[in-house]
Amino acid sequence: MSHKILLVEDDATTADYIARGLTEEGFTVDRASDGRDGLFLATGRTHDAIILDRMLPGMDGMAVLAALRAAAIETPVIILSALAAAEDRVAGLTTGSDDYLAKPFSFAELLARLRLIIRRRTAGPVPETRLTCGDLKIDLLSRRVTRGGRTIELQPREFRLLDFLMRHQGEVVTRTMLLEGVWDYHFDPGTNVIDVHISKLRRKIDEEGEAPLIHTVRGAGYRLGDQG
Amino acid sequence: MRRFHSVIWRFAILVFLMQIACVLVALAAVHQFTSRSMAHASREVAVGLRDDIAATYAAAGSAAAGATVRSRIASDPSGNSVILLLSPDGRKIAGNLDHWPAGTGSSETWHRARLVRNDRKGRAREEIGIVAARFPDGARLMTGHVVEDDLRIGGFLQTALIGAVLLAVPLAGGAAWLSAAIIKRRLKSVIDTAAAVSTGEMERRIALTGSGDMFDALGRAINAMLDQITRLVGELRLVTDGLAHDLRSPLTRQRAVIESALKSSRDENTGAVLESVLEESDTLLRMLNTALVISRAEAGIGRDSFAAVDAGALLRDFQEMYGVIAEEKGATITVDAEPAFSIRAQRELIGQVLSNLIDNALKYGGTHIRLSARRESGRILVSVADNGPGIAEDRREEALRRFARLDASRHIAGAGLGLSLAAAVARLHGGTLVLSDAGPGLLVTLVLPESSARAE
Repeated sequence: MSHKILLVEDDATTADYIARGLTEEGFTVDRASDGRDGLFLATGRTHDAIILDRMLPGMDGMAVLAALRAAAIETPVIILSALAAAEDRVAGLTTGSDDYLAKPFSFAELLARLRLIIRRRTAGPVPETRLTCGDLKIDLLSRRVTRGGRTIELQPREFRLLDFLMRHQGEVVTRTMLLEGVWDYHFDPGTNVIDVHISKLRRKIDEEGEAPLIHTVRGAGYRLGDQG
Repeated sequence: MRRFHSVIWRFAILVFLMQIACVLVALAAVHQFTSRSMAHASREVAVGLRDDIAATYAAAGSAAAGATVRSRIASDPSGNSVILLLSPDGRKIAGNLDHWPAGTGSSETWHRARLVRNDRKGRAREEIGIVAARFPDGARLMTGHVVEDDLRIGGFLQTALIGAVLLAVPLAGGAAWLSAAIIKRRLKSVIDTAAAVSTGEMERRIALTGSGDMFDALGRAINAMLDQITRLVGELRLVTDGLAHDLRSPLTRQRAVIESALKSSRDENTGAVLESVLEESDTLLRMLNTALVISRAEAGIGRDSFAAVDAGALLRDFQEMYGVIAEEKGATITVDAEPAFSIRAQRELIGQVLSNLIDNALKYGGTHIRLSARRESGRILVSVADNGPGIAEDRREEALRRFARLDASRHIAGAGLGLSLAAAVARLHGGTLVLSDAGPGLLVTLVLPESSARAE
């Protein structure tokens, strides 16, 4: 089933780029170029998620969000903002958005986050005790990790990293998503610190002769999956 | 605060001493004046008497003068006159003294002596002020005035003056204390407001009493200054937010174009080039972001999102995060944090600072990096030390400047904003950034005020 997305963005180039990318990925996209139109379209409650730019002409994104939540419209919202400071992020999240993405972002990141909030809303949190990807299995209770017949010893952080990748398998996860999800920091580390953690994990997961599970996605991040 | 107190108390002591000095000077003047004028009055009487008798003697001879002396003594209403007239051969012609007092010359100016009058009962010695004269024929005249009463009044006066001084001491002390208390109270509202504003309560203003005095004028001037600062900070916020928006939108579009080109490129070489273009554009963005974070931190924006952060846990997070990179380079990272203490801070910003500092330390050749957090003499020290080449003392200030990179490190990639970010974040938290020698290596310390500590 195709998900319907409302995109509220005043910058035409950015909006075109997002809309084209989402359409290619099989989403249906409604567009609005200012806050009032966006609010009007959103009140129809027909969308699975809303991508909302923070700085909009007419009515600012935060005001749109506040109006939506006040009207008990609980459609998941990702805020896009040129304001990347931590307190802006906190303000965005406390006003009722589900995620906050600073511009410029990679499309892969937006897509990954969009899929995450849609799934979170539709599926709800299902307590899982076991995750698998191909022949890689992790048991969340005993914290045991096996691939094929061999047991893999992981440090606690490596375990959290793998856990995060497993929960988003098949999707691209970006370095900032990893820093957020695994370390709970939201700044851009600016070095290869995440890459080094991934390559260390990769050495333990993908041994010689095994089909690689952790893939590098050029210009975006990483993807865990048993298909190249 | 103690300094401030000591200034006020010094002022109070000054007020006290000056009041006491005023009282002493005034009383001394009164004392001097009254005792002089009393002495003067007695002397006038004695001199007048002498001149009268001398005139009679000169005009009418010794018999007339003797009669004048007797009548003057008899008619003296207060009974305080003393007269002795001696003939040229030293005999007494008239007077109420028996003989010329020893030690007194024949033409003495005003002086005092204790003498006995022969017309008094009991024949006690009295304090008498006397003058004398000698006539051309050798006769001598002495006139005087009893000054016992003057002395008694002088004694009363002295007692009264000492009493006044003793009374003035507590009164002056009270006045000094009161004036110090008033100044303290008025200054305290100024200080409290300034302190509140410097910790981020930009809306606080000094309460004015409306009296229009100097303290009110000071308060008004400071309030006007605060209004101006608030306005400038607001403007800065607008400008930086606008700049962020204006620069990031084209960067978003640029990134989108590169990304889609990268997606559709089939050629390995083109892909590699596009990827490095993407990396450069991300570096540009990172610099822009950091510069904006610095500007905002300098403007004090973000103090409202301070929260308690466990210092030890924070350092261990970064030890673990960068541990893998250190391992690859053959370096080690150790943490030395006092247990169970947290600082009031913006976790993201402090985290970003630590990340930058550790990254720098690894880049510039340190093999042992020490992270520490501890309390020391009322301050909190969060530091990152390495054993790399360090920064020479005369270059340290330069190293803190925005976009400054010291020549020796120019070949290593980096935006050169790490240390100025650290300095801005330290200031945002009410502290300072100190660069020092780790012997060998660089020791970077965020010195934060104790008020940013929260005992758990």
